[in-house]
Amino acid sequence: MSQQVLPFYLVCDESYSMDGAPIDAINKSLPEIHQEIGGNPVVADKTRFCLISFSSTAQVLLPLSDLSEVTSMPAMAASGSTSYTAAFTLLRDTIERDVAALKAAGHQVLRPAVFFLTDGQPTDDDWVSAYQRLTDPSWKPRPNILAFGFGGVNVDTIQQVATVRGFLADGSLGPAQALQEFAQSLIQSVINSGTSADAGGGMSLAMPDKVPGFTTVPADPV
Amino acid sequence: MSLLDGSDLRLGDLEVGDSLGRGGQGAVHELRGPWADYVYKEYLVPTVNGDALARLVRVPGGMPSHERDLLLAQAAWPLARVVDGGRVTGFLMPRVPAPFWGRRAKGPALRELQYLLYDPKPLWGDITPLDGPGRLEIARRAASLFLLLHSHRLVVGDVSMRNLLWSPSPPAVYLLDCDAIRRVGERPVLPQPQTPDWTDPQQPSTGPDLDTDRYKLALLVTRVLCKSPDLRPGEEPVFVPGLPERVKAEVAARFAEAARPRGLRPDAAQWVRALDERGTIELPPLPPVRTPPDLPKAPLGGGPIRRPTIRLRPPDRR
Repeated sequence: MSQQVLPFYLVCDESYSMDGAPIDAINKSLPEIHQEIGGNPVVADKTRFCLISFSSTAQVLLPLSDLSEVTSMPAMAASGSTSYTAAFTLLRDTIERDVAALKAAGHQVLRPAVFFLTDGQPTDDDWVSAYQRLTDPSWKPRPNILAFGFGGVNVDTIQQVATVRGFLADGSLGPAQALQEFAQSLIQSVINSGTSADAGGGMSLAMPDKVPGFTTVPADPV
Repeated sequence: MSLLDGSDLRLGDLEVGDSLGRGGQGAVHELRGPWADYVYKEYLVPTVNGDALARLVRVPGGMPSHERDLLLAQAAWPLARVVDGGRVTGFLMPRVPAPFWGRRAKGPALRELQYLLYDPKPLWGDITPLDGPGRLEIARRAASLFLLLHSHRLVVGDVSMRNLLWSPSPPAVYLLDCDAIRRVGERPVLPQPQTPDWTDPQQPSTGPDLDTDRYKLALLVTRVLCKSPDLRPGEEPVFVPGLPERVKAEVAARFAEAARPRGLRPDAAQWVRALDERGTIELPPLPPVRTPPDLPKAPLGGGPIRRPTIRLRPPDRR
């Protein structure tokens, strides 16, 4: 039997408004994500992790990897505006390539999961077409998207971006603490996905229901 | 203060401390005050079967003392239910003993079985996988623990690379998530979860049973001895170096038998024997049964006896 793998994409806003505590909080949580996932043999074996950051442009900071093999990753650095178009376009192309490569290596690839984190409204108005390309129902590897918003983002945007579930910071925690909770929910989701079976005995995406400091919002129905 | 009398604790009487971890069904918290040697597992789902939990709590008290000691040394057994009003919120269990903890760069980590199934990585910290003889010790203890549980008709259910811990010296095992255990014929506390790569292809629709456990024990023993995360019966086991030839041959044979239909899989006692130091004595086949020659037989009396009848005269009439 070919081995199942579940790719995770952390897509992170590093626009200028993230400068200071938010960026520091994410940079501090990256070693923890690495430890918890990479140090768990079964989870590292069954999941892959990719880090994408975006502001005016988007870049892959860590190509899709087995975290147990990774020894360093580039840090986030705040600058520029908030282009969702750049993020979604790069994400679609990256997933396309990654899924093909995993399949070529003999894996059975499960639908990728995207943790999308943003602190502000997009500065480009025409991001919808890039988003539709990413979530096109006729494109087989279209990802499940969990959207996390804090700071200046509004609930409609989070609901539009999320395909399965959204989370909006409720202001009860500061940005650093809220991002710490975000990182914990990402770690738990990856670990639970890699270690609990669905009814058919296979792996499936385990999503957080509630994240401390965030309000859960349903994805926008179409 | 004994926890083995089976009585409930009230949530309000506990001093609940920091959270130690969180799973799909519950969160584990430290306790302060008189119960600091124990931890509190809080259920995060509403559908807890409180009666089933009460039955599990009573299991050690119903065992002979030597078996109870063995069980409690090797399992994070639920020792008392925690209730809040009429609602069961969780239970107390012992802390995981120190030998079953390792240290990774970011802090302590449980020595889960999974570290015996892969090649070591720098991220594992001081958790160093065991050599062949060390693995054999762990497999023996796991099989013995299953034998103990099965002899009390207790089904583990979710046997996996995460809920059995091991310690390198002295070699020992420790079973977690014991609230998922149920007695044959009784309902579990919660629906018994499953783990990918640790599923029984023949599991009945009613959930795991002793036969499912036997299959998963075959996976556990053989995967530990082969350092493989996903080996299945039907595949050829390739053992780590340093194991006795006899053990390898017996384990390979039992592992192949685990692919048989339900009811025909090797049980825990067979696994204990396969792994045992004392070995087994191969007995030659018995000689064919000799049938005695068919000779004419002397008669042993012929049929029912014909007894003469004594006729009695009627009594004289006067």
